[in-house]
Amino acid sequence: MFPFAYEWTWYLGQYLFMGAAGFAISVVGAGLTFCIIKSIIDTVQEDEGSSDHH
Amino acid sequence: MQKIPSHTKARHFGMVIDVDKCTGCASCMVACYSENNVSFRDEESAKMLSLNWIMVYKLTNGESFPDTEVCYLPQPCMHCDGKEFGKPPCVSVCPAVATDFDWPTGIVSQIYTRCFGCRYCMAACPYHARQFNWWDPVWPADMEKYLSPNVSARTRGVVEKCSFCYHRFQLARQKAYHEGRPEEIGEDEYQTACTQACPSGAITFGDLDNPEHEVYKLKQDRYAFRLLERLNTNPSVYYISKRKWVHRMADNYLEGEVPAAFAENEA
Amino acid sequence: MTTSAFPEGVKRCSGSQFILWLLPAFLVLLIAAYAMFRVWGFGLNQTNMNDAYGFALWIWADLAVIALGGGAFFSGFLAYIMGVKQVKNIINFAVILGLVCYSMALLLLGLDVGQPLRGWFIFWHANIHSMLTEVAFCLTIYLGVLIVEFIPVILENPKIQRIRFFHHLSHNMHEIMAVFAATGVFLSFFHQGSLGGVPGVLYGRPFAFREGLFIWPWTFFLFTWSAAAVGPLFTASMCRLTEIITGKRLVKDEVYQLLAKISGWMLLTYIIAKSLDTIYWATVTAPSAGFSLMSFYTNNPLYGIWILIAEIVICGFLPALILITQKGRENRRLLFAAAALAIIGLCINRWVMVLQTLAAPLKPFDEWFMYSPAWTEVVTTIMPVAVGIIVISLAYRYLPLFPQERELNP
Repeated sequence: MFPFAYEWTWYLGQYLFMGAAGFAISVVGAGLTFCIIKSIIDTVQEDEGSSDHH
Repeated sequence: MQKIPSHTKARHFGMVIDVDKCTGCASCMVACYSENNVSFRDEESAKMLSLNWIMVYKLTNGESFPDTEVCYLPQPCMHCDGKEFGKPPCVSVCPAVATDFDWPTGIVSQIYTRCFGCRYCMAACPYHARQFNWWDPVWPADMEKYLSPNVSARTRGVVEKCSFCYHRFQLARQKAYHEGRPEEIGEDEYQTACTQACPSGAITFGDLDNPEHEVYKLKQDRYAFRLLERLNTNPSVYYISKRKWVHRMADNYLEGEVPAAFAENEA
Repeated sequence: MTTSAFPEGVKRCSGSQFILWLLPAFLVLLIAAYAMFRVWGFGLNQTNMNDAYGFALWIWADLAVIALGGGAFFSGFLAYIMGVKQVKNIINFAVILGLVCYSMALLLLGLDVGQPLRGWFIFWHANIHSMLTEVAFCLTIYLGVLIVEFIPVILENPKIQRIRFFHHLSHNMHEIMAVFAATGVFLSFFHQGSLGGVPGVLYGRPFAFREGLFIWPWTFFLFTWSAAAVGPLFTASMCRLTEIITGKRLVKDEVYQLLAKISGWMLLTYIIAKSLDTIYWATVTAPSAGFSLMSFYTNNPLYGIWILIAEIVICGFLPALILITQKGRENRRLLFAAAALAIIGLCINRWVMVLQTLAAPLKPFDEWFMYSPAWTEVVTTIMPVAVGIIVISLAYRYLPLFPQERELNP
């Protein structure tokens, strides 16, 4: 999986495979992180909005 | 998949088995069990559940008396070179690199501690040369003392197979190194257990690419053939038989097709 | 004011009736758990597999279940990427079904390996040339994607919606669902294909071996295509089954008909490609290794030429032709009969590609290798059905799975 493992070989196929796997994980991870952060902001803003109201 | 390091001499170990000489005594199997710590069960009749790195098959020509003929065919792992050199059917499918093609020797290895038992290699091997440890290995009480320290015993849940007694190659290489001739290993210095155990001299082992080795000449015998050659697995184990029906038993032929060794005769 | 745990405006059965309904499924689960304990505790000698059948019922179940769960990725593709609005009415259900299928497939794979504790080797020591490695990577990541797709559906439970953060999270996740769906489609394309590659690359097994494009044998593309064709039909059929069990209409007929139309054309193109592949294999690939077509279909108690006819004609062309005609689709019984045939055809395909491949003798002095599964294998293979019943029942009871339910059941 990583270059320090015995079976790693320095060639294109290895980069493509691990690159694609890493890309997919990154996209999902980034998407999820974005949603969580945005939801926190939304919640905080909503709270502030409702406290302003009082 | 590592290629040959520049300082290593390339060898291509293989076997030639003269099945016309084989008497079916199964000494090779017994020697192999003992040499390689192959475990066995109380009841060994279910061959697809038991372990045997070399298996002697009994073939008959299917004729009735007095034309009946029998042939015994010992079959170890074929140590295939593969359709593309270095890619035997079992090696490229292993998801965890637990089996590898050793470029300096042409031997297909099996790393028991790396194998996690998915058995994809067994599905890929057309020879049934690979076996799975369905049970934990258990030896009768005192027998554990007789196990070879040179070969690791396998645990339940991993695949194992013939290694061409690779540990013997390592020992021979070690000896040669200490004697100051690192790359010079004599033909006699590295022989598999089954080869040495065969009382009728049916099995010959050596470097298929070395003109000084017996196997180099034998593999060029007119009646030499390999098992299931048409699948393009390129086995390193050759067989010799002068009997046409034996050749027919070793591969699949469509109607009208004739084994290569007998093609001229037919024409 | 208390909030009902049920989705707004829908009726659900009483708690005791619900538990009674789930009881048989839990019973199956209990037996399966015992079987799993036997297998993990004592090893694979608890099954009927042997050295000729390194792959058996479980691998078939994996292939079939993943192909049928493919409804999730293809419906996701249609709904979020192609923008087919109608499909959104069934997408939640497709995601749950996919989640059950994929998690169960991974569980069965975990059972199937000889050294489960070394399972992580497939990632850590990955041999990227192996189709199984590709399967493991894509399958695991895609299971993660399915969970991500399922989270907003869970968050829509009225009680959870009261927590503002979760309310926003479900909204925000819905907003970028297309990103997750696209990743899912990408991963699914590869793992459905790699599952086809698993038998297709075995050049030592002429029954399964196929030539192909670059590193991918034709089975790679055939498996992906067939999963995309039949997966949505499975989703639709299970949805219909839910309607029958609950006694309610949950999805409009036009949704079923649309899915059936798309699947019908996909199935037709697939089965034509499959037929061409079979003809080439039977006339060129297999004969080059010395095998005639009939050598794979004779001299054994099970695999006759009937299985090929059943797969391609009865469970391939026939349902495809029914589904591409409007009259066929408009007749609900005919539609679901065709769907059932297509599902059976897909299961037959996965079965022959794994089990017939291993059954067919290669050395002329070998006999056919026949196999019947042990109870441990059978009960764990039924387990996904039990888990499916439990998960879908819970989801249906507590989550707003079907946007059209209120309209259809005023």
